[in-house]
Amino acid sequence: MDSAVATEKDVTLLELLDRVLDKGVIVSGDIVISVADVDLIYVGLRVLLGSIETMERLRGSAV
Amino acid sequence: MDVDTHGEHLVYLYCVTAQPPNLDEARDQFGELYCVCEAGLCAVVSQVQAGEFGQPGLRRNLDDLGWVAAETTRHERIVEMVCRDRCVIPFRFATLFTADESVQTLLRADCEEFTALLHQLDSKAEWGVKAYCDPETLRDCVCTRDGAISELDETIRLASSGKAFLLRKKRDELAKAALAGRTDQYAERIVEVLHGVSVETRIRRVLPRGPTQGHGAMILNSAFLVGEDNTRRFLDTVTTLNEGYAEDGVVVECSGPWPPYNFCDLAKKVIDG
Repeated sequence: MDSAVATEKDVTLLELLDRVLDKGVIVSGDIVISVADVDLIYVGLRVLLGSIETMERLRGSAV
Repeated sequence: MDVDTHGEHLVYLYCVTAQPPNLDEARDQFGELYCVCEAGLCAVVSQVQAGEFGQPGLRRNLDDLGWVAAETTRHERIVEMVCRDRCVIPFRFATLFTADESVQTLLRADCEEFTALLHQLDSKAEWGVKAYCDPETLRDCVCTRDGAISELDETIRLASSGKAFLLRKKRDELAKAALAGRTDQYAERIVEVLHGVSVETRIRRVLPRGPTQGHGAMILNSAFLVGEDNTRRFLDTVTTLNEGYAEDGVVVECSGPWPPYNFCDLAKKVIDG
């Protein structure tokens, strides 16, 4: 109906991760991975999802 | 932080609402969810295996993209289901507590902020807006419209090969400068126009090329908080932007409605466990 609106199927994993891993209320519960850990994971996932070129570049800077 | 997780359960917090939501549908799909209520607030939680979500299990699982995809999708689907008939404050993936009492402590400690936030977010939803540009289409479009570059193209056409080589370098620089300014202008304009039909705006970092291949280069990553009664107008505005920019190789993509992940900034983000 509206071509500008992405349907549910079009919502990529990245779009999801961009919110669920990176945003939302952050509190430290009793036992949580630290915020820094999540950021590293996020970078790691972008590596997995990305091209070889991106992978090489991020690997170089993230490790 | 050093908790013995052997054979135990942890409490996973998905979102906070003002009134207990109906969890029947979410339970059918995602198992036993329940509410922890305190201080006029309601936290939607479930028990998860400590082996899976406690450290070091979680750390190990986070290296597994298949696990992360499944679990983040589960997190999002649960929040979305609650979001249908309740205003929610979504929490970040893997917000874990050792017991319901700890969740109650959180609700008590931050009840004023949570309540104020729920009030602000009521009857509004988040929409994601990403803009991409096809570099070649944009370059052609910008160069054709740029007087100095068009003039230089004509000079290059008539110049000797040695001179043309130097002039082409100059042309590349001019084109690069014109393009850099241009993508920023598109991004700013899109934000300005959509800001006019929304309540709040968040500019996110632009994501790298790899994961978004096929769309061109991302020039804008943003989120808008839009009143429910203004959704049609917001989406129509996105369509109008797309129509106006089609020739320039710029595409505006909109996704949503999302729970307001980008609009839940608390002044105090960390409590002592």
